[in-house]
Amino acid sequence: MASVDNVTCPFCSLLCDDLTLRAQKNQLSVSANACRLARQGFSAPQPASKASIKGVPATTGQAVRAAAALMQKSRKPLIGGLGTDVNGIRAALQLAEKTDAALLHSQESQSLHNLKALQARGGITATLAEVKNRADVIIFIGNNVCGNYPRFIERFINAPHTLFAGQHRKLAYMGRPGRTELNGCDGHEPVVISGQGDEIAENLALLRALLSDGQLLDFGNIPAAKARKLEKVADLVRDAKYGVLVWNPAALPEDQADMVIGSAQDLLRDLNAKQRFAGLSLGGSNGGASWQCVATWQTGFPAAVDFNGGYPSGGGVHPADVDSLLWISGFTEAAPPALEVPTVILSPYRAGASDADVYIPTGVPGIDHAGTLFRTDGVISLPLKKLRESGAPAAAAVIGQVLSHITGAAG
Amino acid sequence: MIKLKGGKVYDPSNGIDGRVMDLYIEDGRLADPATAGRIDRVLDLAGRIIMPGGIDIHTHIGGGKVNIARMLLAEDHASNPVAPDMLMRSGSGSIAPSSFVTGYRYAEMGYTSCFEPAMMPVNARQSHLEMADTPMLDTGAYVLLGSDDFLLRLLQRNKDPQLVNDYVAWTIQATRAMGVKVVNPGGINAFKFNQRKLDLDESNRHYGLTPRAILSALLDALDAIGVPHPLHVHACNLGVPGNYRTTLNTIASAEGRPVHLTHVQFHSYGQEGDRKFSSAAAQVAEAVNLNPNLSIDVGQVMFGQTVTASADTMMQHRGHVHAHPNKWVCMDIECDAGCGVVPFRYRDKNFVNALQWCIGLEIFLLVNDPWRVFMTTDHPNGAPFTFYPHLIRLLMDRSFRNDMLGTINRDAAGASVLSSIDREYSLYEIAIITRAAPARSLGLRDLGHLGIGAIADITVYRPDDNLEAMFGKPEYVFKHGEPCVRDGKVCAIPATSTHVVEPEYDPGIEKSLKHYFDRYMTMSLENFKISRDELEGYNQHSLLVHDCRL
Repeated sequence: MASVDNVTCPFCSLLCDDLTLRAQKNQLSVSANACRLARQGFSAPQPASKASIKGVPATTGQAVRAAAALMQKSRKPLIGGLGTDVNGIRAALQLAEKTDAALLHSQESQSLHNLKALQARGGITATLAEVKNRADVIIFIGNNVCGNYPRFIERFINAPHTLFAGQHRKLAYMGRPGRTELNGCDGHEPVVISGQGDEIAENLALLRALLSDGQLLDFGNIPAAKARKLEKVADLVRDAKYGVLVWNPAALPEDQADMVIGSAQDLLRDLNAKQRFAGLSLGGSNGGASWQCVATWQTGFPAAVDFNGGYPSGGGVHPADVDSLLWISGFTEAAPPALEVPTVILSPYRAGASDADVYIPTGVPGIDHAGTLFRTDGVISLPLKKLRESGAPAAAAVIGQVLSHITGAAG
Repeated sequence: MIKLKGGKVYDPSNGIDGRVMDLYIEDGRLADPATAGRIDRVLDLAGRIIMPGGIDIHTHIGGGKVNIARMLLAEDHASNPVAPDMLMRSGSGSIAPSSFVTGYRYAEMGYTSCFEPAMMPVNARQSHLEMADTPMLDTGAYVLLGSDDFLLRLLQRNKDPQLVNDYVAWTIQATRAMGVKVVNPGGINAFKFNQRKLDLDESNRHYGLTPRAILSALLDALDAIGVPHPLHVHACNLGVPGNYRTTLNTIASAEGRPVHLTHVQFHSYGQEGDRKFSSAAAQVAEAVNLNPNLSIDVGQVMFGQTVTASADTMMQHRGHVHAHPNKWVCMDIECDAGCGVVPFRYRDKNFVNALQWCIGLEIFLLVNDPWRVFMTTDHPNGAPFTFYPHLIRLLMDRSFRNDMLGTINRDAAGASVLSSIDREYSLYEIAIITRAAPARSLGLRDLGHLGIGAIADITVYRPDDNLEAMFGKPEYVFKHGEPCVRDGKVCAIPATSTHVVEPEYDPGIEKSLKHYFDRYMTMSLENFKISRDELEGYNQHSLLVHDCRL
């Protein structure tokens, strides 16, 4: 039974790389530093061995040719999901360039909230090691902010050793804390200003007002208990040596996320005139952070990219307009959206495979093949290991084969 | 073998100044016709000007900063799309272009090697990934040290200098770097403790260390481990009026040790006059002339929209009030360094911007020894690199320079000595500041010259009275002996390499590093390191390992 250390977990964008994995006959289990996502992800069975065309088993060569023909015939293909590693994304971009396709990551709508704020006003941010080592005050904004990042509290808030932050961080929640957060903050006695939807935006606005001129503006009737809590949070902020606001677009109500994130960044701008305070957004799992980085350096556009005009543009992509779909889902068992267009699936999982025009099994990045992924902060990238000999190819390799069957000018 | 027949060759490393001669290329290198094989092809280059391929010693082309700049500049990308063709990939942008476009544009100006000057250790993997996606160019990077908590802890505890040497050498190897840069020594770190300024002899409040002490430790370390390129220094007080004193003190603090001061234009400001902003180019150039241990690059400013991207968060945050458009990014990064991105428009009718333009040119023209001044715009901070042909014309053509001087802010033009400087760079001197000198400084023994055995990276220009047109559109560019640009257009995509050095260290340093990583960092030491195999796997890249002094 082989045991491997320093394994990077690709199943959320924290990319914890302190896992130990054991392999027995290609079945993996996490023997150190597991969380629920790692346990589930690494225990996935080996990818299917057979490709299929309209549900009928086919050789990989046949399936690749069918996928190429389908893409080439299509006038407006969409490469969707993009749940893959850096090389898979690089290959997808090359294929899109050659077939005038559009590309849309599965979590586009969430990352777009951060991008809008960035492109409108910029931002002040910190990476995970800064949060772990420096933050003496941490304010979570949203409901269950760390819910899909199971080890965030353990690794970065309750870290046994830090360079500067010590053991007595002060926490506050503007929104409803999740179970991991409440369980994880023993001894920290957080201030909780719970609220849903527009209440979070309103509370943030009240906090900003309080911090800028020392008093609550008259926003109608603010209950005394809430006012006291807001005062407490304002005191935490004022006394912070290095404060951090943590949010997660997926933990904010869709219709409020732009306002909340913009408002958080405005608050950070104000605060940094005199003291140090930074933001950290959790997001970008499922290859999302990697997609944003690679798409930006290769095309200049950080979100959905459309090659339909013969060159890359970033105006947005409407799935309803497309006439074929290449769906890449390397990390989760997610079927493609029901677009009712000819569909190719590249995935280790068979979700949607029997209905697809073409299904080609690929490996899980970081299990079946090596690779690279970017972390939630968009700064750190980590190597992924190959942990078993399943023979399942990387999405990049399959796309490379598809490309070799596509003739034509571009790329 | 290819024969390049009858061109006028400018090869300063070999003392060749416009001599008409033949060159021979075999197996990607310049060959001796006496011993080489048969001539397969003759290219008649009578009347043409031949130089080694251009080398940019300081250009922000790969890594987090420039990519964040790209994310911010949506407007520039939307209005400057680049379509693919049979050969070239697509992209966009004119200020911080996407990676493929960056490579093509550099090659189309005759450049063949570029060096990313500020690669953060924790961001090294991204830098190399981006540079692997930057075609046409061999690339390399200087790894950023001096505000990282590991080093500052070592220095604070006043440990054995050998540990510092080992740490520096280890970091160079682990991140696959070509040299070391320090940015506002200790200042990026001090900003995380809310310090807003730090001069050469002020202490970082937490560590009690001065920039002088940090500089000194790194200068000693680079000397000890034998890295050819001297410490690449972005000094304290970038952009602050009166900062030339800090610059002069920084030069003195090297005490004769080899040192490179980068984007010196931004560090040569006086405080004279009604506006309390003046040129101190003469003082700084004099110091360069008097200190043979010192080299500089200029960081020339050109007028128009650009974006500034720097690890110097302390000064970038201070400069955010000038952001145009008004959006800017400030990041604290991983107990390692930081990143500040501030878009900026340099205006020719603005006194300060116009004087910045003058100051850069004054430095070029007042430094006597071209072997110690390298041509840069600190892309994209002073201007995008695509301004190089224009900049060469400004240096070579006095009447053109004076015409331009007549169009800028009148008070700035009047406050500058530029109009009284007669000097015009020769082709030989241009070949020095854009090829031979950077290669020598970096220790690239077989690049930047055209002697027998050199790698055949060669640029061929068709003479033109308009030097901007000539340098903007080479007739041929050869990369590793193969033509890759014809008449200013890419005609082939050559294989490219990454330049690295591999200084030796005592592996015992990994014990303290592992302890530090396990306790404080958020990635393991093993995954931090970039192996040769990993780097070569990014894009079928090969490594060019350059010798360290023993």
